[in-house]
Amino acid sequence: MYEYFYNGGGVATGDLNGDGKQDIYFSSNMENNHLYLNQGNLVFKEVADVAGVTGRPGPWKTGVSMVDINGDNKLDIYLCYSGNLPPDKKRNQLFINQGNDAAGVPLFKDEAAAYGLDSPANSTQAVFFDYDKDQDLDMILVNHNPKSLPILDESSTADLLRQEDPNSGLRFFIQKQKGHFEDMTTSLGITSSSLSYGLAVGISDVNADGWLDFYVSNDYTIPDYLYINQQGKKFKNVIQKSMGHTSHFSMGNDIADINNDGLADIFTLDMLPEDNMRQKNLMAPDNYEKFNFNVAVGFGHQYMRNMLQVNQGIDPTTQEPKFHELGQLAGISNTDWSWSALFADYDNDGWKDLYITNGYLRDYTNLDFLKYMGDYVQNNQASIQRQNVLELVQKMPASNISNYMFKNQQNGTFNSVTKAWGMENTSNSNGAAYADLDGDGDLELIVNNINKPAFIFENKSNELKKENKNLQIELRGEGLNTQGLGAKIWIYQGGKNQYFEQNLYRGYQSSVSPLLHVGLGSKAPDSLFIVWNSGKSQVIKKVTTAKITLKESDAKTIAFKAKNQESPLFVQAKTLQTFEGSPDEFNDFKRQTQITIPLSYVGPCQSTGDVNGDKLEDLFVGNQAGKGATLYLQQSSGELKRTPSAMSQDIGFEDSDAQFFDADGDGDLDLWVVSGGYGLMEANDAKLADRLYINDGKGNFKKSTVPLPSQGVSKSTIQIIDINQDRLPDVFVGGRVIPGSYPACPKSFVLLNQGAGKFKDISAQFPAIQQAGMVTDAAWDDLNQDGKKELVLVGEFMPIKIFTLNNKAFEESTATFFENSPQGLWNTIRIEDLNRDGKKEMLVGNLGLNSQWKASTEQPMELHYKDYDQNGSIDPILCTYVKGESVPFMTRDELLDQMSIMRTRFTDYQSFAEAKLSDIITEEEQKGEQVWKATELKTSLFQLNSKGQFESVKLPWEVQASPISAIAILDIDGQHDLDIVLAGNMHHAKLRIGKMDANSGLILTSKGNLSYEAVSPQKAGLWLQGDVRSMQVLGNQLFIGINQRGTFPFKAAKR
Amino acid sequence: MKKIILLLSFLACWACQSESKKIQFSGTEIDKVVQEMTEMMIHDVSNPPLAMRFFSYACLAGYQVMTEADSSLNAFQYQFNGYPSFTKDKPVEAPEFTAILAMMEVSQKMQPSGGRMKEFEARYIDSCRQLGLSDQVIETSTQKAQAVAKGILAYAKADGYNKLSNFPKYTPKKTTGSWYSTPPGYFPAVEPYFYRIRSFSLDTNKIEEIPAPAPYSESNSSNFYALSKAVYEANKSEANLKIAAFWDCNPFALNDQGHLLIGMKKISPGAHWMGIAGIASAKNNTSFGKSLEIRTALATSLMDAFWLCWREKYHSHRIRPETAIRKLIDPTWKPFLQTPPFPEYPSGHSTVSTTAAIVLTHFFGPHFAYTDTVEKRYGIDDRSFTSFEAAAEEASISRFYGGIHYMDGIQAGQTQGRILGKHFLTLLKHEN
Repeated sequence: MYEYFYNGGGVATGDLNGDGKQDIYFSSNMENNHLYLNQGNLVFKEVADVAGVTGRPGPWKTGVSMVDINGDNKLDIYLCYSGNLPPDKKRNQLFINQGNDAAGVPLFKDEAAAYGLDSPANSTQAVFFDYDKDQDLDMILVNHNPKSLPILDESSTADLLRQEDPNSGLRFFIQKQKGHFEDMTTSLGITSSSLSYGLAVGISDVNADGWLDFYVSNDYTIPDYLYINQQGKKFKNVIQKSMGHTSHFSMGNDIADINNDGLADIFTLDMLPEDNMRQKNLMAPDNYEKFNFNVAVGFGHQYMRNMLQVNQGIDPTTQEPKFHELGQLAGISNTDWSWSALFADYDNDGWKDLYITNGYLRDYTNLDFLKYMGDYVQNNQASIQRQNVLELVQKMPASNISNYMFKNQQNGTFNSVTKAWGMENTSNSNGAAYADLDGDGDLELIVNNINKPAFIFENKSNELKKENKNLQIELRGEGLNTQGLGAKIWIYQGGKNQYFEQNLYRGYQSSVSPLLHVGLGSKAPDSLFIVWNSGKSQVIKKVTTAKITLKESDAKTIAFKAKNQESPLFVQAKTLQTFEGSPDEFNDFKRQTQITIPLSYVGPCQSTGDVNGDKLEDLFVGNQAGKGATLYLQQSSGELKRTPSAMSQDIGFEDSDAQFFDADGDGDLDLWVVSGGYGLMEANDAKLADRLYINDGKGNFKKSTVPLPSQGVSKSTIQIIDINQDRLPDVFVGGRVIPGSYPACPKSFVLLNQGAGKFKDISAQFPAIQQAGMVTDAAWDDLNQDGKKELVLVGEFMPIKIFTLNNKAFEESTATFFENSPQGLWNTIRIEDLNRDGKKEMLVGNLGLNSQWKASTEQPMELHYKDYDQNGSIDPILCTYVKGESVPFMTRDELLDQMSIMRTRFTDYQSFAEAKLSDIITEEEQKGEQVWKATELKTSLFQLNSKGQFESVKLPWEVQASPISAIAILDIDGQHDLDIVLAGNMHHAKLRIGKMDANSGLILTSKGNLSYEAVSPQKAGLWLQGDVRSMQVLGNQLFIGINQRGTFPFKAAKR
Repeated sequence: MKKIILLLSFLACWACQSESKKIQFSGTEIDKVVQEMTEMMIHDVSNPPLAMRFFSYACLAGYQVMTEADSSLNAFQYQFNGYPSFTKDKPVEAPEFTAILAMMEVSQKMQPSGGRMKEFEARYIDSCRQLGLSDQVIETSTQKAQAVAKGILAYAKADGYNKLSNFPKYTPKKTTGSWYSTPPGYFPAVEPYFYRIRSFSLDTNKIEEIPAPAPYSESNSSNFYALSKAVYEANKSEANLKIAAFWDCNPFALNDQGHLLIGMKKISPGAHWMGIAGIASAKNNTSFGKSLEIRTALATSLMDAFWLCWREKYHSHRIRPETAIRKLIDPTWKPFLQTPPFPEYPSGHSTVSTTAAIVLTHFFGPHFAYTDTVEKRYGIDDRSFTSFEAAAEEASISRFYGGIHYMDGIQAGQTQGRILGKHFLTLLKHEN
């Protein structure tokens, strides 16, 4: 059976007969292709037969591309073939435009063989560009293996990847001389093996070096490729360096600048549905063995959802472009089984919107089908018969859902306007293209459907959004590149820039109109700058007309002026320590499958203080993953010198926090180290006891033999407090989790200092603090300058809790400071007077918005827990809102694993797909359960208002790209207000959430009045990789502690 | 072979008010329940050890009813670990019918698709009513069946199976040569803690161990390499492959066709032997009570066989031939049968088949010839055997032909099966 039987056909648009109107060409898998000549007013005439472009009768026609291959200014058509067919039935066709007949119908002749482009490979589509700047076009043929993926392991994969398979692998054809192409794939360094399921190639200069690069979408576990053009000589795949993770079943793609920052962003499509029911019927349980295996064979971290790879510029550590994946933050990650993605400004407001086609005629992926349809197959041998498969396939439902239209919200996010813009038609759609078919200044969409007439969506923006202007640009390139492919255009409008690249091959199996369309909003452009693929450039000042023609012959070669690279704010200094070779990673989700976020990866923690009285701040870095804690003494030179200490002896602890303070009142700094972690520890594990190291005044530490009361649970944080003003500092220690019993509330500790290193546990006096929740961090400050100090606690599924110390007793004052204290998955808190107005602000790190989880007051995340099946273990059930309904997050298989009694309640996937919590747990069983809530996932900044209450202040959207676990506050630019560094990430999240890695150290510079601007990674200069768990400022250096990697100092350039 | 014989009761019924016809239940009635249970297991994809657990408790419920009614039956179950005491109330009028109902009650509560058994039970009761069983007999039988089932279900719950989810999920050992999930599904390890539940007959302090497997080695002069090579070069004659396919008994083989995935399902090894017991009982015209004794002995001994076998599997964590051969010999090699998702050593089919043959031989004798038609409905041709032992021998070697076990794993399984079989016979021979 042919693997890609329901992958559909494509659409190509362009003016084929030179009448100035955009014509449409459709491919049909099994019927004749159609060519529609545009008669104006959205009236078309079908002329494929006369024109000679029906293609060969019968199967299997796939992608279509328009291209002026011979430079005669008449568009030609390249048509691809695939299927389980003999080679001669699969030869691709190149229809050369011979000019019009008397009736104005263009006539075509197939000259593929003469051009050397009649490839018999299993082709998806061809794309054209001039990779070596010789002014003619070269061609990439995107191919796929018609058979399903073989069984792979490390040895066979390497073997298969080495072997060339021209019928399945991607092929690169160079136009050696006019009208003659040669297949030069291998000499260009391009992989072309049988492990190829290429569904699209996107072309763009992603590293902005003037040479066109390309991105390959591969289906299944085969990784995508990002090939960087080595100045027209070779291509180099850099995807593992450039992207932290990619789509799993990559389908169509598009490359465009979606945030108007002048850098090309990459968007790849996948299959994750939006609604709960389809997700539950589709999501297989997290299989860590299978996933780790794919990582081990070099296929990278692939997750099933659309990925928006936002370009961050060149990472100096790799010299390659770096992308942050922001698809979920952008709101475009879940669009079901998707094919084509087309970024274009459909409403002419000056920002590119997004159209996505989707649908599959037979919903192969249904889990009930996988598990229970096999009941009906009579199985003779180990493999099933073709006839069985066909019978089964007939029983499958069509996914038949609506395509998506997203409007760019101009802040890194998109909003679905499918319904609002009248595009809710259900269909199984594949290829699509845009073009201004009626010439009224907005883009129509043409969509090729399976077993259903094609769609043409007429765009009414010209009537409904009259205030929005547009500009259409016709490019006339030199040589054989008449359409100016590869040209880059910048449109300047006041402070705003828009960036475009001329590339027709976008989405899936299709090509868009060569007429470049620019939405302007209400502002006319100040100027326009074009750089042609050849490198020649031209500035056009004052663009007044709605349509202009640019000629490469008018452009000039200007010596490339290196852009004045701003020097970065931070420069990396010599690495303090690395944790390389950390022992085996522990998978928390194997111990308790329903943990929300990983609990084991807590370190490294840091603390600073002058331990030897030399007036120089010294640094302590805690234990992490079996690597010993280290004390660094600062030398007069500023150098940090590693010094042996008692702390280094205590290997095996997971240090979650540490604090220098004078614990015994002898005038020097002692050190308290908090024990945390999760791993295989038992509740009451000896490794959960905190330690106190007593300083002899010269920086020599001795472990105190008096046991500390804070033990028995995994803890996260220490805060030095003073309860009784006796000059002996007291201590708060926050409880994080009881190992093995997540999410039961762990104990937190209030400890009274009795001198001589003795602490008395007085937590029981303050039950609200003792049982505050799963605490991650604490702060101690006088929030409202009334002379009374507050203890502020944050944590996972916790409101921000505030306790005022009043006459040696804590009184909860949360309600005084918050009308509704936001409940979050808070990781860290800092209290600081950021704008130096004498009032304190509160900055709290949260999960962020770039995940599958959403939460609000009206639609909270709820974590219900109890030992529902009374088998001796806590059963956590997380419920989240999906499309307005609270549904369980776990899959059916996970539930059945957690509670064997559920096996009789949900005998198939469909019944669980429809289930709410009340269908899972009976009313009787719910009695006595406990519930944690989260109503806010944004990392948030709060300031006090006139009523003395905290209210949220807006932060740049980039902040929400990843979890924030560490905050540094410092003055970067010497201005009045303080600046902020935010870092975090979460590499060990459960598979369904996936690796969260879109923070490389985000600097927010103050613009005054608590308004902040996100600094680009290039300007910041941090380029952090991994999970940052602590940051400490020491002099002009920022010490960054990264989990399982090490501690890395960065020097501030300007301070 | 349908054998519901209707006997008119000639004697006036003194004790009861309503007339109830006496129905004689033959042993094949048990097959109906076993078969429905098997269908449900296939649908639910119940794994092999778990399938045996379901059979065991269902049979025990039925057999508890029978041993209370018929003192000539060997109530060997009272020797089981933690077996509960049942209050003796007055004997029921239709013990066979009650036993069937008790089995169904347990199956309903334990099996995921229990709802299906509930419908089956309703239809069954209805058909007996049609045959003349009075409402009162049905009523008292149901009450008794439910009471016994309740006791058995409490016994089942106390075996600790529902606590297994408290253990961490299995993580493959990182040492070379240890088991790792296998293609195409890379399914997680099945029941890694099965040996932590209570067995029926084993004393955990007195377990006779089998020899350790040949240690993993990549040297081509090693014993391990030779064992792998033997699997790789096994004679794949049509006859041998037919044997492998006949004994495949893989509850869920994944058929991977790209985006199209289908699970191909078959009965588990234990269910296969339960079917064979049915064939033998029918051939011998074994009475209902004896038939149920055989089924109960077989089911419980096989659950213990799985218990023992799984204990060793998750002690030695041995690599499957598929993984080893692809690494050491031929990166493109694929076994004829799909590798099931748990460690190799010892071969479970060898353990349980050997035990099954010993138990069945105890009841039917050493030269009991029969034709195995159990998997006919899955499109597999019948096979005839001269004895249970011969069948067990073939079942064991089939795993070698199928490419999913090494020869030492098969031999160790047979040794283990013999140990358990012999031990179980002491219970069966024990005079109560």
